[in-house]
Parts: sequence; C-alpha cells; structure tokens
Amino acid sequence: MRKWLTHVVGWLGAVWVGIAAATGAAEDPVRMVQQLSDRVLAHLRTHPASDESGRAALVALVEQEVLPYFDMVRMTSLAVGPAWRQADAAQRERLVAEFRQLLVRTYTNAARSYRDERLEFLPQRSNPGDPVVRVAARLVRSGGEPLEIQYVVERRDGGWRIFDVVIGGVSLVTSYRSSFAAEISRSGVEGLIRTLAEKNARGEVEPAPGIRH
Amino acid sequence: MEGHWLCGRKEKGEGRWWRGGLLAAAVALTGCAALPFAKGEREMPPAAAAMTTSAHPSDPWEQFNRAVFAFNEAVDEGIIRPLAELYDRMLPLPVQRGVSNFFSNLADPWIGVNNLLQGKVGDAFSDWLRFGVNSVFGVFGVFDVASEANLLKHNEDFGQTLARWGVAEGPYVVLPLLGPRTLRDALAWPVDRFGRPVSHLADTSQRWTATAVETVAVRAQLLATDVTTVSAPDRYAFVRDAYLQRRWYLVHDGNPPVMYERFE
Repeated sequence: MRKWLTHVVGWLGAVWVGIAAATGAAEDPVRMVQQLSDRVLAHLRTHPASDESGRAALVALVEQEVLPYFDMVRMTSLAVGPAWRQADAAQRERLVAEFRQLLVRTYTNAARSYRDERLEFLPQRSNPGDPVVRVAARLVRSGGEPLEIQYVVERRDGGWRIFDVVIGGVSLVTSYRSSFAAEISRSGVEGLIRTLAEKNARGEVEPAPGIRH
Repeated sequence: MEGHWLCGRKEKGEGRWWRGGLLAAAVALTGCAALPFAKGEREMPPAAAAMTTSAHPSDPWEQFNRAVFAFNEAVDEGIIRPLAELYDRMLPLPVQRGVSNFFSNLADPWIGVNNLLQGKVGDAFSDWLRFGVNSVFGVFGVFDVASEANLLKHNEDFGQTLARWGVAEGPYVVLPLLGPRTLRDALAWPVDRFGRPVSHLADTSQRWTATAVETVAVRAQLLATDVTTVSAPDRYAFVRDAYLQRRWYLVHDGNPPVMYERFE
C-alpha cells in the first residue's frame, strides 16, 4: 500500500512538471513560430501586399513584430561564411544591416504571391532539450505539392530565436553563401558591403514587376 | 562527392546499361570531350582546379554553365517572361489556376510510377488516386479537389528515382532552355519527358502548343519570385546553390541531413 502511494505521488509530480513546462509559452519554439506566422498571415488576408502601400504596411509589421524574433547576426554570419571571421566589428554591423534590408525587401516582395493558402504545422520531430529545433509547417496549395517551410530555431538569451527559414528545401541564408563568397574574393568584405548597399538602394526605387490579383 | 566521375575515370560499373547511355548523352549534352576531365586523368591537380573553378565542388563546368545561363536569361527576358506577364495580365486568377491544375494533374500518374520504382507503394497509389479523383470530380483536373481531401501532391521524377537507386548526382550543369540540372537529372530528363502524357499526342502542333502553354503557365506562377534571385550579388551562383539545395532536399524526401556551422 505504501509503495502504491509513492507511485501515485511520483506520477502526480511528473504530470505537474509536464503541465508547468507546457504552459511556459515563451519557452516553446513551436508556439512562438505559430504566433508569428498567424500574425503575418492574418495581416496578409486583410492587407494584401499586392501594391506599394500594401508592401509598406507589411514591411512595418515585419520590422516591428517579426524581426525581433530573428537572430540577424547569426543569419548574416551563415550567409557570409568563413570570411565573417576576417570582418571587424564595424564591418559586421554594416553587413548585418545590409543583409537584413535585403531579406526584408526580397521576401516582403515575394509575399505578393500569397493567395490564402493554408499553413499547417507538422508534428515536431525534435526532443525537448535540443538546443536547435526545426519547426516544420507546410503551405497547402491548389495544384502543387505542399510547400514545406522549416523555421530553424535556437535557444538564445532565455528565449528562442529563428536563424534560418528553409523554404521547399532552400535555405534563406546559406543559399547566398557562394554568391557572397565570390564577391568577397573579388573585392573583399568592403566590396560585398558596397554591392549589397547598392542593391538595396536600387531596390527601393525599382518598380515591382507587373503582377495583378 | 566528386563531381567528375563520369568523364574522368574508368570504373567497375561502367558496363552497366545506364553508364554507357549516360556517357554518350553526357558527351552530347555537355560537350564533355572538350572539358579538362575528358582525357582520362583521374583528377586535376589542385592548383589547376582552383584556377578553373570558383571552388564550388559540384560545379567543375562553371564557365560553360555561366554562358548557357546567360543565354537562358536572355531567352527568358526576351520571350518567356513577357509572355508570362501577358498571360498573367489577361487571365483572371481562377482561370490561371485551372490551367496549372490541368497540367499538374496530367503529371500525377508518372509521379506515381516513380514512387513505385522507389518502393514507396503507398505514395504511388495515393498519386494514382489523386489522378482519378481530380480527373473525375475535378473536371479533367481543372479543380484540385484531391488536395482539399488531403490527398496531397508529391514531387517525384526519374532523377530522384535514379538517386534512390544509388546513382550519384554528378556535376551541376545548365542546359539550354531547360535550365539548371545535375548531370544525373539531365540524363533522366528524356525519361521524364516520355512519362508525360502530352509527349504522346500524335499531332505535332498540339504537342508544341500544350508544351508552350504549360511553360508560360509555370513561368507566370514564378513571376513574384523573380525578385528573390535579383537580390543576390551573383545571380548565377545564387540560382546554382538554391537549385542544388532543393534537389538534395527532394532526393531526401524533405529530410536532408543539414549542419549549421558557427562563424561568430
């Protein structure tokens, strides 16, 4: 009887710990990603990014509410590759600023093609305690295979930060690597910063290619 | 993996049916004989290799590839993209979607065959069921009702089947009009071509019309993503890396082993 009681107490303890862990919402990378994507998709449904003003609204939302959850330094270092180690602190800062702008410009523009497809989160493949977690979701589209989107998330400063998004198998950050490396071997880290700055400056005035909803 | 196994060395497996075919096709497709690996050296000296490639191990034919890439870009710029933009402007979205769905549906039986060849029997039957459901209830595939019923589309082709059978991907190659491929996928292309119902239309002009409409429809869907590749400093390298990552992912059915380094 005594033994049976200790079992029950033990079980209750385990269940309690489980509940405590589950309610720590900020501690849960899946919930973090879910809340972020819900926020963006809800915005896109009511404010399509099809014209300039729609895009500006999306950029504002991303800057204020989405990017704080991204580890831009880690992302930029992964895009730049080994040459990151040669860059000094000031150069790194500028690289991060330019790369950040490039990503925002590029992907808010690509959001024009979003057409109320549904985003489903897939069962987690990772274990609790993993330092890096892949949160997988898929965009179910009519007439095409679902597009899988993986958010690669890492524990950082007591919370979780996204440092890569893999869309249909293509990494948002590492796919820039050899293109950046080519620029660095041609004209150094400074050259890469200059090219990115030029691209960004030109991107602001470039008219969006014609697409209509 | 070593990029240039095909032109470089003699191996035990060379007698296999696909090796011979591959070799012939590789020469035809890529002008292999003109390339530095053709004379049967096992490997290039490291210094020479460093000079002719920008150190991407999968891209020993970079010079050739860049030339073809530029040609393809010009064709896209001058012909295909304008047509796609016109198509996008003329047809309302539901019509565009119907056209894409129709061609997508025609591809499903062959996707099923490839799943079967890879031993994924369940997926194969799912693809054929999709085809049946969409052809009947989706009015010849114009509506993708199967996806609504959670019979989701798969992405398979003969290149992925070859990968499953152990054929290495070979060097990266950019083909005129067809675009980026790994050598393995370039050689699988005629087989995939054969697997398309459109290729079996008896009437030549119908065959070309169907191919043209499909090409324009696919290109129109990609218009919004153009800006993604424009943003990279070196568009060629960006497209190559994205393509190779995508193939690697598809070959591993969405679970490729990936490691993130730390440079901070």
